[in-house]
Amino acid sequence: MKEYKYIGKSVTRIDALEKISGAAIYGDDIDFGANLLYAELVSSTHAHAIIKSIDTSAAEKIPGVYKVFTGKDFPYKFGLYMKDRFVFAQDKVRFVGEQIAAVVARSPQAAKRGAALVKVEYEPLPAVLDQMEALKSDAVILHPDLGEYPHVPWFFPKEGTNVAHWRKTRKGNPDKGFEQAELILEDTYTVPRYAHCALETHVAIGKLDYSGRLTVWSSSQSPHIQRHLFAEALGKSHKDVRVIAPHVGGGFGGKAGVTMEIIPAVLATKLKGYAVKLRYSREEEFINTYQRLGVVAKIKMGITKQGKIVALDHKLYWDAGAYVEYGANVVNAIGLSAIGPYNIENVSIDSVCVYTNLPPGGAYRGFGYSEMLFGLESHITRAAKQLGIDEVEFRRKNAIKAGDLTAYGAKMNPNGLHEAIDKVADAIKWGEPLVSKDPTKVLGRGFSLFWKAPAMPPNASSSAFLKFNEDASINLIISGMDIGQGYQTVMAQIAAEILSVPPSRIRVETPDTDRNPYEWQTVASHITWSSGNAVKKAALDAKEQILQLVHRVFYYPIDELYLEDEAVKCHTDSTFILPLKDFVVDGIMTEDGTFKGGPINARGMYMPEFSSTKGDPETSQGGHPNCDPTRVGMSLGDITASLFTAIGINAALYHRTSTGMGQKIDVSMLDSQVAILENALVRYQAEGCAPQPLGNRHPTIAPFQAYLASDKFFVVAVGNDNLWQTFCKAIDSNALLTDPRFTTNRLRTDNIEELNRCLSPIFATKSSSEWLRILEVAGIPCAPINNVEEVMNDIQILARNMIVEVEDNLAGSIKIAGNPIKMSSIPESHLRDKVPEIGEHNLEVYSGMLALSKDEILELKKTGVI
Amino acid sequence: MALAHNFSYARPQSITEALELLKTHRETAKILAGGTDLIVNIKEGMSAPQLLIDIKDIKQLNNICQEAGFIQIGAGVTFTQLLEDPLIKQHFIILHDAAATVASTGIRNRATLAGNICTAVPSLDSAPALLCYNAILHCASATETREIPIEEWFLAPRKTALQPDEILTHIRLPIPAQKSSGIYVKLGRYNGEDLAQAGWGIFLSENNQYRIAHCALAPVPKRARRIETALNGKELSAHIIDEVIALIDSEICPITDIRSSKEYRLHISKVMVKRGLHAAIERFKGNKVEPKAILGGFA
Amino acid sequence: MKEICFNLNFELRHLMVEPNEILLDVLRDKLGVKSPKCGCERGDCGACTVLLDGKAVRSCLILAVEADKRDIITVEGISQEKLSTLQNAFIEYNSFQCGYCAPGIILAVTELLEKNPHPNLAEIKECIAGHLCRCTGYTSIFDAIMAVSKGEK
Repeated sequence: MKEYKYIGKSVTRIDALEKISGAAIYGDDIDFGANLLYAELVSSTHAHAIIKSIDTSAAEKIPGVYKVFTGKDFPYKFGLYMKDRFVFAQDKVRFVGEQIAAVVARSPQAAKRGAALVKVEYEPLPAVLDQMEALKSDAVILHPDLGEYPHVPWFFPKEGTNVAHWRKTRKGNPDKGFEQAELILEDTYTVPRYAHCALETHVAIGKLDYSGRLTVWSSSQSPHIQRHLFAEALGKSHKDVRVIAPHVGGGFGGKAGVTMEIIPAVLATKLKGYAVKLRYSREEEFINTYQRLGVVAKIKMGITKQGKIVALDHKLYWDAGAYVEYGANVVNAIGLSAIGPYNIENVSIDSVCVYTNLPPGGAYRGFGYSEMLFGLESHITRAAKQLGIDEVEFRRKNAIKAGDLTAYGAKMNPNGLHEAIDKVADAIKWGEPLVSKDPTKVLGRGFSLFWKAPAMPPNASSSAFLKFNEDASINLIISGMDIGQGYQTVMAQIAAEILSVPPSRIRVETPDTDRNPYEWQTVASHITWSSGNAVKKAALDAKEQILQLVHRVFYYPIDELYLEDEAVKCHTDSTFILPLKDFVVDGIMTEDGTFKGGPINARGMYMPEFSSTKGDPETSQGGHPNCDPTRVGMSLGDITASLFTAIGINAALYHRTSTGMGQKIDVSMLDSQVAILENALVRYQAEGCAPQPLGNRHPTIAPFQAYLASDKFFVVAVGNDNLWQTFCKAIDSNALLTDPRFTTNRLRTDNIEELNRCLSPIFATKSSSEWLRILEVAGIPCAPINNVEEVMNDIQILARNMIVEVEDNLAGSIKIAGNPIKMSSIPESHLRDKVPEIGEHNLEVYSGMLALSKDEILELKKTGVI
Repeated sequence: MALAHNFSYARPQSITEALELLKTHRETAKILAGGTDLIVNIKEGMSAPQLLIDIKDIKQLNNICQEAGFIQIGAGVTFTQLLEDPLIKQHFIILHDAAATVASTGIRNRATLAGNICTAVPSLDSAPALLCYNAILHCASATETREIPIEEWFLAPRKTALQPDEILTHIRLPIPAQKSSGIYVKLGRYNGEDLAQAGWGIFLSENNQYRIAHCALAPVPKRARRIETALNGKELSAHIIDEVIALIDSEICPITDIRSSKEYRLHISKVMVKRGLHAAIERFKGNKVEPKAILGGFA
Repeated sequence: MKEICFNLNFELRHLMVEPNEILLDVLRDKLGVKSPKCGCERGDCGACTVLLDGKAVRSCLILAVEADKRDIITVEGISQEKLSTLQNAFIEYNSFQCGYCAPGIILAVTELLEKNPHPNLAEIKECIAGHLCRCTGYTSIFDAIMAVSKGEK
C-alpha cells in the first residue's frame, strides 16, 4: 500500500473554522435587504380531493400581503425521472400537506395571517393510504393521465392503474429452481416510512431581476439539477438561471432533486425585482418533503439441504406517495438488485412503485437497500437456522463472487466480499460463545451483508476547475455539496496529494452554477469517486502544466521533475527548488527578461462510459454495465472469405475463357468482413459518429427487430411507411396509427425506445405463432426465430432439400446442410456422397484425369506432395 | 419563527401593578414568566391574549427563601434555580429530582415551577413532588389573596383553580418536621429531554409514613391514597409490595397516546413503584441513589 | 412598537420592536447575528440557543422585548478576539459535520464550563441532552468536551 502524505491521514476539515466560528452561511442566513418578500404556503387538509374553489380575497386584504398565487398561475409539471408533479395542486390534491396556494407578503407575520384566511373548498375523494389497497382492482386511481407523463426510458408505468413503475427482473427458471429446493421459506416483511429530520429545514429564495435573470439560493444537494429543472419548467436558457448553494444543515437525501425549491423559483417570475423566500416550518418538513418509501416485501426462497439458494421470488410493493418523480428510482434500483449480494441462478424480482395519498417518497440514505435488505437478511438468517446451518457459513456459501451473474445478467466484478465476511466474523469472534458478566444484561450478536448500487443515470458526471493564486494557495472550484459528510475536505486531500500543497492551503466552497462547472448531484454515495476523479484529473492537468513549463524554461527532463512541499524539485539536481508561488500566476522570467507561462488554470471531468440502461422491460436482461463485445454465432471471416474465393475462382475461370490468361486470386478474411459491413461505412460518414451496438434491431428501419410474444421471440420487419399503416391495422392499434411520433420511418427510428414501449405490451398478449399468422395474412414481413432443432424440422427448409444425409465412417448417418445453390441442370438429391478420405481418389484424378505415369505418381508420393 | 398574533406587553415592577393590569384585562391577559409554554401556545393558535404581563422584574417573586417552617418558592423561580438551591435539595429531594428531569438545560434556565403547574398538563413532573409535600399555592388578585392546597389545584387537563384575575405568586412547602426522604421516578422514552410517560413521587418519613403521588397516569396528578394506607406504619416487605402492586390498577387510569400505551403504563407503574419504594428507603438510610438508574438508564 | 436596549456581544444595541417579535428573528434579521439557527420553533432542538445573562436559553421562545436591559452573547461574541479553548477542541476532534447544531452546543457547553470546569461525561451528556444532532452520533462532540474537561487542551 502506497504511503500517502494527505490521503488516509487525519486532516482538519476545510469547513470546520467557518462552522465553529459562526461564519458559515446557510440558506436562511443570507441577507436580501428591503426587497425581501416572504411566502407562506396554504396546504391541503385532505388526502385526496377535488379542489372546488380557492377564495383568496380575505387574504389579499391583510396589510402587508403583496400577492396570493394558486395553481392556475403556475400550471407546470416537473420531476426528475418522471414529470408527474405540480408546483401547486391543479384540479386535485393528492396528500395532506400538498401545497395549494402561496401568500407572499412583506413580513412573515403578514404572510401567516394571510395564509390562515385563504378558504379552500374541497370535494373529498376516497383516499388510499396503503400500497396494497392501492393495487386492488377497484382502488381509486390517483393519476388517470399516467400514460402521458414523460419519463426516463427505463421506467415502465402501467396506465389505468396506480402502478407508476414496475421493474421486473427475471433470470433463469424460478419454477424449476423451486422444484430443486428442499426448503422453501416464504414470508412478508414490512418497513414503514421514515423522515430525514435534518436539523435545518428546507429553505429557498428566488429572485428575478429586471433583466429577466433568475437566481435561486437553495439548501440543496443538487444545484445543477435544480437549475436544469427550473430552466425547463420556465422555458429559460440555462445561462439565465443561476442556482447558488449555501451551506446545508443536513441532507441525507432529503435535499436531493427538487421539491419545494421550485416554489420560490416560479413565484419569483411573477415578482420581478423582489427576492421571495420560502422556509419550511418543522411541521411542513414532516408532511411535505421527501420521505423514505414504505415497503411490503414478499420473499419466497428455495434452498437445498446443503444451504445453496436455488430460487428466489422477491416481490416488493412500495408505498411511494402521491408523486413518484424521484421515488420511482428507488423502486427501480431495488428491482435490479433485490437478490442481495448473493449468487442465485433462478430469480424473479418484481419491484412495484405504487401511488398512495401520502407525502412523496424520495431519496433517503440507503436508497431502498436498507429496507430491502432488512427483509432479505432476516429471511436468510431464518432459513439458515431452519436448516441448522451456521448463518455466516450460509452466507459464505452463497455470496456473490467475481464472474457470477447479477440478477440482470451482468458479470460481477472482483468485490472482496468473501474476505470481508471472514474479516468481520473474525473480528466479532463468530462461533465463540458470547457470555455476559452481568446477570441483568443479555448479549447478542447478529450478522448480515449489505450491498448498495448507486442508481444513477449512466452519464452522471462531475467536473472540476483548479486555479492557483499568487501565493500558490489553491481555489478548487467544484459543484459537489458538503452536507456534513466532509466532501470539501476529501477533494482537497486529493488535490493536495497530487500537487503536494497542504489541504489547509486549498479553499473549497459551496457552488454557484454560474461559476462552478457541472456536477450531476451529491447523492448515491458516489461523490468521492466521481468528483474525486474529476479533481484528480484537474490536479494532474495542473501538475502537467507546471512541469511542462519548468521543463521548457530550465530544460530538465520532465520525468526528473517532481512536486514537493509547494515547490518544483528535481531528482537529479538537489539544488533545484522552485517555489510554486514564484511563478504559478506570474510566469517564469527568463534570462532575456521575457516571461514564460502565466496563470496555471486546470480542469478535469469524469463521466463513466461503460454503463448502459438498455434492458428488456420484461426481464431486465440485456442492460450492460460491464458489457463485452459479442462474438457472432458463426465464423463469418472464414465463411465469407471462402465464398468470395469461390466467386473469385469462377470469375477467373470465365476470364481465362475469354482471354486465355490465368491469374492470382488474393482473398483475405479481414477484407471479406469489411466488404459485408453493409451500409455502416456510409452511415458513419453521414452521421459523424461510429455506429454503436444496437442489440437485434435494424439500424435505420423501425420496427425491424425481434419482439417477445407471450411465449417467445419473433421478428417483424415493417420496411416502410405503407407497411406501417397496414401493420397498425393488423395489430388493431389506432392509437399507433395516429401517433405523431411514429408516422414516418425516420420518426419511428428516432423514437425507437418509445415505440418499443408501446409495442412490447401489445405483442405480449398473443403467442408468436398467432402473431405470425396475423402479420402474414396482412402481408407484413415477419418470421419466427428458430432454434437449430426447429431448423432441422422446418417444413420449408426440408422442402428445399436443405437438410441432407451423409454416411460417415466414424459417425454413421449424419444430417448436414444441403447445397443452397440449386442449379436446373443438377437434380436435387437427399443423399450426399460421403467425404472422401485424403488421397482416396488419387488414382482417378492423377492417372485418369491428369494422365500421369506410375513413376510420376511414385515421385510425387516420395516427395510428400501426395 | 414569526407569531402571526400580536399583543401588548407590560413589565410591571411590583405585584400590585401586575394585579391592577390583571383586574382590568382578566382573561384577555396572560402572565409571562419563562414563556416556554406560552409562546408555543400563541404560535400554534391555542392562546391569543391581548396583553402579556411579564413578571420577571418583580423582585419578590424571584427567590427561594425559608420562613417559619416553610420554604417559599416565588413565581419567577426557574427550574435551574430549584436544582441549584441547597434548601430544596436538603428538604425536598423529590422536587429536586423532578426539576432535573424537566426538558433540557435551556428550558430549565427559563421555565418556572409556577408556570409548570399553571399550564397543568397531566404529565407535569413537578406535581407528584408538590403533592407529596402538601404544597400550598398562594394566589393573589387585586382585591384578595387565597391559599389553595395542591390537591385542590388541578381540576382537569390544562385546567386549574386559578381565577382569571389572579396570579400564582408563590408556592409554599412545609418543611417536613421529621427526618424524611423520597424519590421521583420518571419514565421517558430515552435519556435526554422527554415528557413523562409515567411519573411517581415517593415520600417517606419516620415510622414508615408514606405519601405517594403520580403524574401522566390520570387526567390530573393525584395522591395514591390506597397505596399509602397499605404502606403506612409497616416495615416494607415483599408481601406488602405485592399488595401495593395489586392496588395500582385501581389507583390510576392511564390512556393510550402517542407516547405510550395504557397497558404499558399500567405494567411499568408496578415496576416504578416497587423500585421507587426500595430507593426511597435506601435514601432514608443515607445511601446515594441515582434516579436515572432505577429504570436501567445509564447516566 | 417598543424601544429596547441591550448588550449584544459586548455592544450596546437599540431598536424598536413589536411585542410579538421573537428574539431569535430579531437577532438574525435585524441585528445581523446569524449563528443562532431556527430548527423546530418549539424549544426542542437547541439550535436557537443564546446566552442570556450567562445562561443558555432558547431564543425561539423569548420575545425580543424580554431582552431589554439584558446581556446576550452568541458564538460571534465568543469568536471575536480568538477562538475559545472549547472551539479549538471542536475543530481538532472534528466534532461537527453539517455544523447546524454547533452554535447551540458551543454556547450550552460554554455555560457548563463556566459553572463547572471539569464536568464528567454524565454532566456533559445532561448539558447537551436538549441539543439535537442528526449527523454525528455525538461521540466526537463528547470527546472534545472531555478533553477540555481533563485539561488536555
